[in-house]
Amino acid sequence: MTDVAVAVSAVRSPAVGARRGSRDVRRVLQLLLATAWLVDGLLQFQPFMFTRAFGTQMLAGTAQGNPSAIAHSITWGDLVVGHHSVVADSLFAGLQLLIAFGIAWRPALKAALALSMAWSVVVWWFGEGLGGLFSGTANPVSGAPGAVLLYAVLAVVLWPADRAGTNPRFVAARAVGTSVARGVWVVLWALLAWFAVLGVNRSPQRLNQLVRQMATGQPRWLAGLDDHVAGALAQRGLGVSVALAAALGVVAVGVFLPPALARATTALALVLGAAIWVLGENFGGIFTGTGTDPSSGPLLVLIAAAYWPSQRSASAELDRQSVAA
Amino acid sequence: MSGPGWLPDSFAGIMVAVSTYCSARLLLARHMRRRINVDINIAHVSMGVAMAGMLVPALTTLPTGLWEAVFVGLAAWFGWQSTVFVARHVGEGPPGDLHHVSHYLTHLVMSCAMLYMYFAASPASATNGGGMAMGAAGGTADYVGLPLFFLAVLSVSAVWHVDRLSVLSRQPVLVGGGGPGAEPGHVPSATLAAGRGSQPFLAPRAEMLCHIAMCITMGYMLVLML
Repeated sequence: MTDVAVAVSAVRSPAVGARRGSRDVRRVLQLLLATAWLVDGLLQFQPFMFTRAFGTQMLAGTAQGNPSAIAHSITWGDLVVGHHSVVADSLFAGLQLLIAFGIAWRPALKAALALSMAWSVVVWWFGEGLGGLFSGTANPVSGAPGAVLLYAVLAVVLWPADRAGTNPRFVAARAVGTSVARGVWVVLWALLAWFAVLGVNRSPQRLNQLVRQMATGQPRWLAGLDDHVAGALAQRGLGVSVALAAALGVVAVGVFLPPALARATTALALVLGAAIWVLGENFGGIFTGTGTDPSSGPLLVLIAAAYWPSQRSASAELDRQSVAA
Repeated sequence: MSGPGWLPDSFAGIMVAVSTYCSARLLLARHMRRRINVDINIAHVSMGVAMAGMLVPALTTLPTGLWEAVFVGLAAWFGWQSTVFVARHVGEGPPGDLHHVSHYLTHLVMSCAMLYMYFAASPASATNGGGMAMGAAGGTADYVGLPLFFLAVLSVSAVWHVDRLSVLSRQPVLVGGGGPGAEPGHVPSATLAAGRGSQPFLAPRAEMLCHIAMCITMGYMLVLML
């Protein structure tokens, strides 16, 4: 019944729309975040998720390589999930749908974002094995530092609050301020850059192996793409990893650059997020019937969109520079 | 259908309820002289009944071929409406008018998603001509990008409607629209929903809820086919 919803949208006067322009961008991003949670919740309804193997094999497999105490906690939690797979998966799916609709339902927005942060941490620990941070296998191409952690980052930077007396350069700065928002950005992208050249990721065949592993269970066209990409990466892992780390590093510092350059580095972040999603993550393995979420690519794109320098702040920057001159 | 049995049963129950309610809307709107989107309600009834039959074969009502014809017709209708709307309005109307295209395009996508599900699903048995077994799409395995696209559109539509619903819930619903005595600053949602028409809209929130339920159920079925 979109006509009714359309009428509600259309009733706003142009003046109100203009005044609320930047706020609307944040709302759009919040709704995209809600959409991501909704897709996650629906994916949780896949038949495989209701089987014992989901907990005892798929989730428990993330314990490998972690320090003993962490690995034991993950194994314990995932065995509980495996032994009560139907109830546990129903709860997971219901909770994710609840978060999605809570973010979309304006009166419940704050509660839903807070719930999403808490749930993200739980899933990051028990479902993603802390993103491989402690096992030495984290690689941005395969989703490090854990896609679900990015949901928590988004919940923070899209929190529905406005710091008084600030002229935010981008949407993400509205709730936490420019300094904190920049800090979050730098930590995130610098971590990704570090992971790209960390330990085993420097080996010549690492990227080749990662891409080849992804091809298993994919549809023919995607497996074919993986085959081509893996072939191109063969024996070139180190060079590509260094280049990727350099690009991620440029993105990390881009948030401190003037608006025009910041826009270019943010565009680079968008491209990298999309490339990682398609070439490295194969759309989060959704087509294999065992994907629990679309992985980190779309979330990196969403985060980059939240840091896109706004026109208003750009003109304010020009004014400031002309005054200084 | 794989997974716990109560899940498709629950979704089928929701679809039966939505179909019944939308059928009642089609009858009541005429009787009560209220506005509704007739094409949308017909689409919801058709999709609800069809999906209930796909989820629970015992609820199958029409042969697969007939359902496919129905959804080809609905897809053609919404495609034609989108084209006509774009030809008439783009560049002329206010920005809000562009959203009206989504009204048709979303239901075009839903009709195409129904067709995809019929083409992708395999017959449950040779003797049960209408029964469909949902699951991994065999012959369509190389086209799994399609259900992902459908899933994305349906998810965005559902989320957007929940957002609009929360906005609408803050507006007072006036049966007869905003008259001279209407409180300033409050825009009667019934009038809003009716758009440029003079008749108030019939239960706009309930119709939005039906659309959300339809999107979620269809999304669930598409996920089973990934």
